[in-house]
Amino acid sequence: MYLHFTSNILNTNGSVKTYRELLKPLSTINLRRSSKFNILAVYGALLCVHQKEVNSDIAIYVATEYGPIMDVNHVLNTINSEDNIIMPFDFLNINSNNVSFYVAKALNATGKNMVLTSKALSFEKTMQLAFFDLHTNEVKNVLIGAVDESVEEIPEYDKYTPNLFNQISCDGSYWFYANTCSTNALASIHSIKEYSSYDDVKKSLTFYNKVISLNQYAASDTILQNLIESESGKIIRTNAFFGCDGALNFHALLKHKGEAIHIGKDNSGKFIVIELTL
Amino acid sequence: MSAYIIGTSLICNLGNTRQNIVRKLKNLNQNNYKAHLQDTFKERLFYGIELPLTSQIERYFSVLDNIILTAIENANLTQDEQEELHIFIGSTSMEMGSNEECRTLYHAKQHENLFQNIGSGSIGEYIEQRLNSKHKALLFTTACTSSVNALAYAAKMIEQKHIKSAIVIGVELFNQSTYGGFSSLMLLSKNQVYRPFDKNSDGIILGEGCSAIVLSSEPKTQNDFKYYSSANICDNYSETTSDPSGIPIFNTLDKCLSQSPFSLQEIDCIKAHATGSENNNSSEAKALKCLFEKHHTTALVTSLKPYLGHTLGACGTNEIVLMLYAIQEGFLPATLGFETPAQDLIFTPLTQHTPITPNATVLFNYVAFGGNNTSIILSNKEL
Repeated sequence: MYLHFTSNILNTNGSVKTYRELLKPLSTINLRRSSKFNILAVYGALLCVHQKEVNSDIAIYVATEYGPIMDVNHVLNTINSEDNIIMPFDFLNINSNNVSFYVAKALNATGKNMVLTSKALSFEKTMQLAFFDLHTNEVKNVLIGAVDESVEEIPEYDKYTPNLFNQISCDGSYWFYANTCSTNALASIHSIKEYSSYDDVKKSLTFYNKVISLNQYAASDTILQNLIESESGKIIRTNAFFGCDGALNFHALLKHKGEAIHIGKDNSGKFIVIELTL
Repeated sequence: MSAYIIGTSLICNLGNTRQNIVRKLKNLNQNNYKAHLQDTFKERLFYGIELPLTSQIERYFSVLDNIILTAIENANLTQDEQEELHIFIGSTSMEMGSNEECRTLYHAKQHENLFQNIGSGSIGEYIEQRLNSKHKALLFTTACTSSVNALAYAAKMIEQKHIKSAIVIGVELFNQSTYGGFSSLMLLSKNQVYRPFDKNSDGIILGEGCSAIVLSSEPKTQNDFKYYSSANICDNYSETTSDPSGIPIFNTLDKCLSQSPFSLQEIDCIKAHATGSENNNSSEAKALKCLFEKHHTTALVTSLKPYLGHTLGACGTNEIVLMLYAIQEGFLPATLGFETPAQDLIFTPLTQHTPITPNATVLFNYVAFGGNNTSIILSNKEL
């Protein structure tokens, strides 16, 4: 799997209007009544493949931890209000898979599209699925997004989200275009593997002279960090928080050269490890 | 390597056990269908699950526990085998009902949290803990194709030797947001009779249902169904409706068929998506017409939503399990409610339960909001 293009959007809680304005120069797609979540995704996806040739059979995968959470919050308030009628667009905006539909529509793509979640490891699991599809020749080119909107406006959001480093919750839309062609690639992903424990990770990986990015659970694991540092691995960590924070740190890794590893961990101690050459 | 269905479970409007579901399924026919619906819709226009629990949160976990444990028992898995299961989940509304209850209690000052959970990953985490699984659960939210996409991926990963076994779970329980949303889109039936492909079909009737399918690289019995092929294609015509030409649905069906070792003539039955909405009735009928014309033959067609209601993201596995139950009992279920063909319908869906040997090949078709179309072929016939 060879990564060719990427895009990255990371902002403190932006308005839907702001993202709509940013999207305008890139697409004429009508998202007038659509959610911020959808617009954030389409904007990120179009930035990733802007002025690039994309086949119509491109497969689209969207990873998200929280989905269109602000729209869900709105609907939950609506059904508890006196006039508890759900409006059509409010309902459509809480259907998570509309996000991949609008990305497909904006790209005029007719390949497969998937919206996926896996607690704390949504980005890594989604990469793994796209890797599987490319590896088995199910598809020829893939566009993988990791999209989550800020949860700043949800009271006491720390109760429900693992904001381990107590940072401001951001809007994020990270996209990666990949295929099986090595020419001019930014990175080559060799494997995406799961490990059910720290001991398995320790047994299977070596970190010497490698650049390593960590999602927030892995970054809060001091035993893992000590292991990496004891083997002279170089840890890259971006100090920001959005739902799919693994994507943020994986993207930061791509600025480096050489052998690299991305480690995602969840709160029960399961790991997903992406090994790549930059 | 092949992927075999070695364990199943289903909880739906027809019952909470296989025995009850099969008994009711067998007994339903065109004559008693309307009376059955009147009884079913006494409280509201909805195919509900009968459970003695009123709390949405308690119902959710009770149903999940039940289908998981029943499927594992049916597959006869040891504790070690259970822990090796990879987990794939498909749902449209995920925990929406639980979040609604939580919000209502919060407003009534009976609960301190606004949400049961933010995001859907917690369901996967719960099932990982329930099974003591070594693996990370993956949740698919592709609307009505969610659980069939989950099943297709699990099967392909077994075929490709990436994994050895998996449990695929489809879950959809009542919630006001979905019910209200479909109502506001004016997609619900007014006549309160599910009539796929019928001239008088006037909309969808929602339902709740949950199912689990255990897949393994090794069959448990000679009659276990095997995964042969699947296809997923995006129809980017509209967020809520299929391309009226039916071409994207046809392309999905045809791709799935072409990737299998079967000809259309060898397909014993096509389980249509058949939501009952005007657009889906018409576009799927056109797609099937294209399929029959291309392959110069036809196949039997039926729909299972008149029995279960439209169980959205869970309809993939729910309808597969129900169909397998029927085949194992020696019949293909009739499309209840079908009387007069819709305009230009070139096939007649099964109007009566039709006998079949317990070995069959079925092409299952699904269509979802967001243009997500999926077809899958399962068979327990020897090639």
